[in-house]
Amino acid sequence: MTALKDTVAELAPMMQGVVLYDTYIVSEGTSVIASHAGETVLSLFPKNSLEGVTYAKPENWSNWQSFAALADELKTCAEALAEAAPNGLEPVAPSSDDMAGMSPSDMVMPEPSTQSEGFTVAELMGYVERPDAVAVARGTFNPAELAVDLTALSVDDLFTRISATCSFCHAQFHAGRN
Amino acid sequence: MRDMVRFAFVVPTAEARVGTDILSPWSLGAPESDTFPPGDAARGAYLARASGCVSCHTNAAAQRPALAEVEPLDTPFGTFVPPNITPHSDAGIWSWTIQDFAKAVRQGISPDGAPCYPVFTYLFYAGFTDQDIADLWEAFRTVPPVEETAQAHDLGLPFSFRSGPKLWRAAYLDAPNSDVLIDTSSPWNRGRVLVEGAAHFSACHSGRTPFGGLDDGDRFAGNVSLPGGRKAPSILAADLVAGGWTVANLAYSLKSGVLPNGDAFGDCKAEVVAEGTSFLTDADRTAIATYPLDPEGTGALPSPSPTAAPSAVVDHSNMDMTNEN
Repeated sequence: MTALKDTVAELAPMMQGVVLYDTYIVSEGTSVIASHAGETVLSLFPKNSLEGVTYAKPENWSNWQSFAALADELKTCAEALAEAAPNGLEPVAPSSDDMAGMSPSDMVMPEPSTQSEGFTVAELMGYVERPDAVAVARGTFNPAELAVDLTALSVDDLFTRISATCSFCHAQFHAGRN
Repeated sequence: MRDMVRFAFVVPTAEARVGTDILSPWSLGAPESDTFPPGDAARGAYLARASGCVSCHTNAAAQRPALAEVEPLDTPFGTFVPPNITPHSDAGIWSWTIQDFAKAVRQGISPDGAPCYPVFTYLFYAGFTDQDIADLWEAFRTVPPVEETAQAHDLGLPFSFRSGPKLWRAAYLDAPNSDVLIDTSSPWNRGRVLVEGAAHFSACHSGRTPFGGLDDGDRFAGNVSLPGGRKAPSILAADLVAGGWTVANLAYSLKSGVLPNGDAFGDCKAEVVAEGTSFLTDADRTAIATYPLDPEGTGALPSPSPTAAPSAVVDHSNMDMTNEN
């Protein structure tokens, strides 16, 4: 787990644009993540090992299908990112300077343009799930059924999926100090 | 006067006997507008997500219908059950008017005139404009109605005393201070509006008095007594800087759940990201990250800690499977 954490810590600043993007390092780093995901991470949690693995919740085993789906998603996304590393980051978002001319009244609440992130009213209100969250949450993630070619996605998008998978897994199964 | 009201909480059980006679006739709130502007459901849905309406009223982990059912919240005062706020005619809010809705959201007063319990974070929404309310209203009308009546709260005396929150309001109800500073950068102003208002960071990250009011002396200093025994860390600027946080990595964590050390949020913090801040725009996440790192709006953001140039990828052989994280 520490290797995963260290690799994410090394790559995250590149995704934020504060460290120069390096295709080789991203590709190699995500290969490391992929090698620790899937069956490898599942093997760390043998049945009836709760007492020896104090940072895991009982749900880790009672909801094994979902846990395994997360492990698979992590591996799939990491492998895709290792391959897609040459794609680079998506265009940089508008800088804060771009908003310098806004008046205070413009800032009271989000403007309709906030929909540019691509979420529909139904997704925002929660009665339609984000497509990328459905399979994992239901423990039905199947890379073969993905509608998109992951390797065609931007590096930033793929890395966000990797980190979201880690966070989602921690929220459900991690009993540690986080 | 406020101190007297706060002291009055000390003997609430005895007061409860006379409270019905004294407090019940005490009407609350101000009349809402007769008319509201046309609403924009898209803008309202974004605001509902930013304000926590969706995450607090939906049991997403259990794949339950949106805004209709959620896990009860265990607090030191008893167990609260967030209500069904879908537009269902019986179980939800279909019969409400937009004025009812506005009064509940901005003033914390239900259509029957009863005060809402402060576990509902209405005090952070007091600054919502009529347009905000109209937009939210339109968004909520799009939600499929669900016939799922919420369980009743399970509270002991004196907190089950229905007029009790009137005393709480007198003691602790303050509108959020989210006034913009004209000379300060737009992200900071925007961040202040979101952090102090809609996104209600103080609700989790500030200390509370024994009676659940925000402790002015512990603002943003963290809270170890959240519902369910959860904890929220300090987001004071000095503590954030000491933890390695910058505007860039804090904004990124609100999108991804990744901490500066490469670990990932867990527990309720992961939920906040997954069900809340990950839906926001990059500009709003940057604004939210800017405000606590520069609480006075000086424009002097802390310098990021030096980042070593990436030199080598972590060796696979370093894999450490301890449970330290």
